Amino acid sequence: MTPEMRPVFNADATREKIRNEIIAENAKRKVRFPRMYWLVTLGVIILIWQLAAMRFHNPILMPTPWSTAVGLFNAARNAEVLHDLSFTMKRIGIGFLLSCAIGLPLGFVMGYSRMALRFLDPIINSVRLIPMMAWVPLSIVWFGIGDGPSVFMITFVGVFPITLSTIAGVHEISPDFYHAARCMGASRWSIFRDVVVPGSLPGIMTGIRLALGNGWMSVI
Amino acid sequence: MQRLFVENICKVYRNKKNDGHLVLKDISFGVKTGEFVSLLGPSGCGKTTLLRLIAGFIQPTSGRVLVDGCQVSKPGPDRSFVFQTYGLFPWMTIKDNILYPMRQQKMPEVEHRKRLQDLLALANLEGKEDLYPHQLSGGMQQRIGVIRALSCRPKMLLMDEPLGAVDMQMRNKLQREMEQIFMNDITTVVMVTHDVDEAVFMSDRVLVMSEHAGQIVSDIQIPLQRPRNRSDKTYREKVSQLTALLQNVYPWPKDEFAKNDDNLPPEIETNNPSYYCHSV
Repeated sequence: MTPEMRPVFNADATREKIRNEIIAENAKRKVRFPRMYWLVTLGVIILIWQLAAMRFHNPILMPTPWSTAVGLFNAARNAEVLHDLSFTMKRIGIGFLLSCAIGLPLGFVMGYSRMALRFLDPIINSVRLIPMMAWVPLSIVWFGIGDGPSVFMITFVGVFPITLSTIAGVHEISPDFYHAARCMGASRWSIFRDVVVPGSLPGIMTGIRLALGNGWMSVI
Repeated sequence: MQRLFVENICKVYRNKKNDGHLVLKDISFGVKTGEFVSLLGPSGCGKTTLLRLIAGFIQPTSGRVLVDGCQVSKPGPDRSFVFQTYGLFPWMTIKDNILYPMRQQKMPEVEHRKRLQDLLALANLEGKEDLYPHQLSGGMQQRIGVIRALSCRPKMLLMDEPLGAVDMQMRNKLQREMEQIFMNDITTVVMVTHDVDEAVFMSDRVLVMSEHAGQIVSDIQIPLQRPRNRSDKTYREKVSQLTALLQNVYPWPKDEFAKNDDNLPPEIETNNPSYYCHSV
């Protein structure tokens, strides 16, 4: 093969070609409608719902999606429903705040002190496993009829996830952070405020989400 | 003048299933004020345990640690610690991380600003104070770890394999920078390392520890001027002396690193276009 017969290799052209390929590839991968997947899921659910409603053909057993939507729209304009909704929201709000007020300090104490964990863990674990329904009659006897029992229930189901995830959050903090803080002359209060609280926040947030979810489920 | 004195330290780890694992056996040594001492030894020789005892994170089974004649019982601001994993608080900015020890030790507010700027200049990190630790590279984070530890002018600095987690080029660069930092701000330092070159480069004195029942087997002075020069004859002699010592305490198969020329990759044909394509 003489030198003239060799295929000419042009580095610039190759680079250009590769760059264009990369751009094309990226364009292909780019998600044009980020909400599309969500809409597809919703569409599939509504479709199955509609098919089921057509199968039963009975508005009491299985109303169609459309009639449900109309019902929701009417309810949202009804003053009485809105009034009831505000009551529910108030109960959830109070219950949630109470469960934070009980759960967070309990979690911090149990996470921080091994002694407190040993004393309180059996109590928490036995009370936690009593079925919700068993509390209903007792709570009505204790708190009467009205907001009382409901707030009690919401608080009750919120306290445990918050306590347990706070304990886990405190335990997950690397011992190096405590060592570092103590090496820098930090006081007990500062270790709590600057290390324990921010360090356990990811765990606490999980607990708060669980507590809110549980709260919604136990509104009566 | 003696700053640190470690007196007949023994450390035994015990649990229900074993009857005591002896990690440190009757260790004694002193460190003079302003001296940089390295604890060099193979993994598992108890050098980190020894450093944590000096810091007060753990308590010795017997013996005691004295700093300026006072017995150590818990961690304190007179002994700053630099962690292998940096130990910076990820929820604070760089500025708050460095100011944290100053605030805890009630340094006057007016001094904060100046000290912060001085320290950032020392570590060559001006303008980074509002970032969070995860936004910096490992090398930068470790420099922050060092200046945070120095911020309140501690009596001594304890460093646990401070450059263990960075690659070799960064390691050499940071060693230079740390050398600069300690030349400007003379501090008593005890550093744990398993790297012979690092020990010779950084320290005034190297204590070599043996693998079993942690004991100090030699105490080597490094009488070299700073900044240090790796190609210096004495430097290289010290490195080979320490390497030989380490090989004795931790004998590994001698031929493990022998070169095998047959296994070298074939030469790359540079006029092959596909080679260029992949390297673009």
